[in-house]
Amino acid sequence: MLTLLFCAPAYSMADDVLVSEYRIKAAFLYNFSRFVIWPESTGREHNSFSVCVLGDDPFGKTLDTLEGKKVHELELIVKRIRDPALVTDCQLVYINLPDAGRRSAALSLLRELPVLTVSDFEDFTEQGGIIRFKLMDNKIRFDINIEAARTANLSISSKLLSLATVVGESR
Amino acid sequence: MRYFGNMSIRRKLNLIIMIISTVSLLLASLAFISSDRINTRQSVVNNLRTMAEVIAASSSAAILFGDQGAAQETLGFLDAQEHIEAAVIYSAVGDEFAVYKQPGFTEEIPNPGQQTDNVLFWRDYVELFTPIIHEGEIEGSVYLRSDLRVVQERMVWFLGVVAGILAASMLVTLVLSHPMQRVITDPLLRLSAIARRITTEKNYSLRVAGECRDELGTLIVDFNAMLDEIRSRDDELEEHRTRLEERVAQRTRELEAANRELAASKEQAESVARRMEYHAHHDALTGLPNRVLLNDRITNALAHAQRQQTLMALLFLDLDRFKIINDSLGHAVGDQFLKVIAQRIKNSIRAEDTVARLGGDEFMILLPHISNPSDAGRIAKKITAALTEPVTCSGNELQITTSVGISIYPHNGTDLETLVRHADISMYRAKQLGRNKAIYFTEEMNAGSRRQLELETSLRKALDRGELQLFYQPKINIITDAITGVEALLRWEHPTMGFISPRDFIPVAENCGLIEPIGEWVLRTAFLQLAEWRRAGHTELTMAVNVSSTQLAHTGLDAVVMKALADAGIDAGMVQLEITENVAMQDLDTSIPTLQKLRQMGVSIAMDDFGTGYSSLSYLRRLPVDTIKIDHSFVREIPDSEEDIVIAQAIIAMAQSMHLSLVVEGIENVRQLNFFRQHGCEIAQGFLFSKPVTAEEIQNMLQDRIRFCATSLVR
Repeated sequence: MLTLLFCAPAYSMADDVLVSEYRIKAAFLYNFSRFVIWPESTGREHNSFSVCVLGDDPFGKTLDTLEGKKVHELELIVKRIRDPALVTDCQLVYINLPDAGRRSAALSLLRELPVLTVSDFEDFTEQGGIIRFKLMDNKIRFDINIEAARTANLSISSKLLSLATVVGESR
Repeated sequence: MRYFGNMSIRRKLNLIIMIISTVSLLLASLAFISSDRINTRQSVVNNLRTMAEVIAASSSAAILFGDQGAAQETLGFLDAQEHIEAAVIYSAVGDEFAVYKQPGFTEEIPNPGQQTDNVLFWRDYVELFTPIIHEGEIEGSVYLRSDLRVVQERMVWFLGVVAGILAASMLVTLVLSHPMQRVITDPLLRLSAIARRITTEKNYSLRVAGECRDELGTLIVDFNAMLDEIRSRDDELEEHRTRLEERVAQRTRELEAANRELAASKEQAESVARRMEYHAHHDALTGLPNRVLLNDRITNALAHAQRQQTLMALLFLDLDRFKIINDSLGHAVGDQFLKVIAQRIKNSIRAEDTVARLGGDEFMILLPHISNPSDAGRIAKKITAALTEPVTCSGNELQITTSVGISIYPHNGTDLETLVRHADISMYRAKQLGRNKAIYFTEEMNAGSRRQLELETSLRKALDRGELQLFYQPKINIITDAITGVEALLRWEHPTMGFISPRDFIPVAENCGLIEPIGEWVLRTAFLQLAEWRRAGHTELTMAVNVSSTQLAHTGLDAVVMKALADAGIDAGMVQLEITENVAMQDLDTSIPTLQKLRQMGVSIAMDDFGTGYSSLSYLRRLPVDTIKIDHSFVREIPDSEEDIVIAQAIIAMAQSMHLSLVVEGIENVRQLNFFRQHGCEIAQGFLFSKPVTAEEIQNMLQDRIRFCATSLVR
């Protein structure tokens, strides 16, 4: 049912990109979590899987619909955070910090933590972020910095990798 | 089926082997093919499922991230899979997310609908639906359609292989079955060949070779056993045949021997018959013709003389005082003397003349041709001269004279009886005239001879004076040793002449008509005596009475007998009348009805002196006779005379065959007794047991129950 909810807009993206873009991206966030494997202990202390938005929330209410879903047998909860220092408890962080310096500071804070970082910013993967959304042929695609994921001690499924543009391999 | 039935076993076996191998091969192939078909289809499905799973796994992310290009790429590898005709990845809502179609495939792809995780087999293809699941969530589904060419190709290939194997196995079967079926057919062919040879050659020593132990082996063994059996049967048969031939040969030999014996016995029988015939016509002692033959010849001579108008003479010849010789020297010497006399008479006459012995010392000579009456006197003289010559007999020199009476045809009579009577009378006259004379008959003699008159007179008085007396000779059952009956014998004791033999006075009585009263007296006396004995308790005793020819000729004999029986009060069954053959023969027309009447009354008839007279079977058969009495003349020489034994045996056999009772007369010694006892005779009489005795003596014998045979054996 949920998949149906999130997958349906994908077909109308070309007509109404901006309206539905973040609904799709919200679904993608959830889908990412299902193709990434966190270290065993992650989230166990709270018995929950935290999806956090650092900075302004572009998803609106659509993100809240994800709450209560199961991710790796943990209950998904959504957190909206302003202070980067607070994101260390999250398992997935969508970083929406327009300021590059602040993004970089946040990333460096999370670098070696098992937190999947996602953002729309063009240089995000170069800054050390793991997944960056991009638009190709009016379709939402993404880059994955495999090195950053490794550093974060996250294992990304090859299925996800096969759909992504893999960067940072050379490093 | 008929065609199959007519095939040789070899062919049948071939056919059976082929059919069985083909059917089993086909069945095996069918099983194999269908199993392979199932396996192949399964493998196709498995293959499809694997592919679908691969597609599902690698397209789940693409669906989740809406990446149709990636999804399309995942179907790209199907280009290399020739049998995949179409493939579709559906989104969770059932939209076609990515589609693959083989070049040239134009058919509609069905909407999966609710058909997730399902395999659908069609004739030419198979469809598979598999859900796309990621982390327990159904994200979409995969549709795959594969043609079944593989299955069909494999099928075709297998069928080819099967056909090949079938053909090869047929070939192998054909090649192998030929030598293998010989295991069965060869012994059969051997068996049938031997059977055929046996049939054609009839050689039962042939055997079928064979060592196998299966049913055929058993058959061969049984067949051989059967041949053994046949052979042994043949041998047995042959043996039987040989034995049979031997037996037939033996039987033939025996038969030939029996035939020879039969011929011999026939000869013997003929000789017996001849002898009987001879006896019937000849005197037993001297071998001269007897009265029967004489009468015959006289009759012939008379006929001849009548025709030729010639003379004929009869000479009645009686020895003078012969009784003295008999009484003083005994019967044996007397008989011997008579034989010499007979021979001398015979020597004194011509060949055409006949001399006959009439009994005792009486002879009759027939001279059928004489020229004149003096010829008879000359011959009579010649004979008397010859007889006066002394005779040496058992050391005694005997001399005797002869009295002869002569009668001439036609001067002294023209018939037999007259001539004989006249010769007899003239002989008496010769005796009266002092003996040793030959006298011609003269008419004055016809008045009657003095002797006869004397006798007649005496005889008439004798009855009244009680000079006649009955003596009785017992008849003995030589098996039980009991007196079964008696024979009444007439005695005449003349006051001056002493005992006179019935032989002497019975003819006189017959001549002068006294025989009837005398005969009646005898019957009555005998029957009364029997009644007396019966009253004394001897109820089984029978009485035999002699009957003379005149009595029998008289038609009233049966009435006389019946009256006598009634007067005495005895049963006719206890009475037997004895007749002599000659008596019976004299007037058959009268005697036979009388005898039959007597027999109907219950009186039994015995033939006395059997064998001395007309002992011809044809006569005997005509006579109503119950019993025959073997004459003592045949008994006397037994068992020393072979001839007499043969005659006695013949008479016994005859009596048995004609179911006649038999009485043996004149048993004088134990050897005779034993002989007749051995030959199955029951009743006998004779001096061995008892001479004729008075009624008182018989009474004593009956009371004392004398054991005749036992005493005689001791004797």
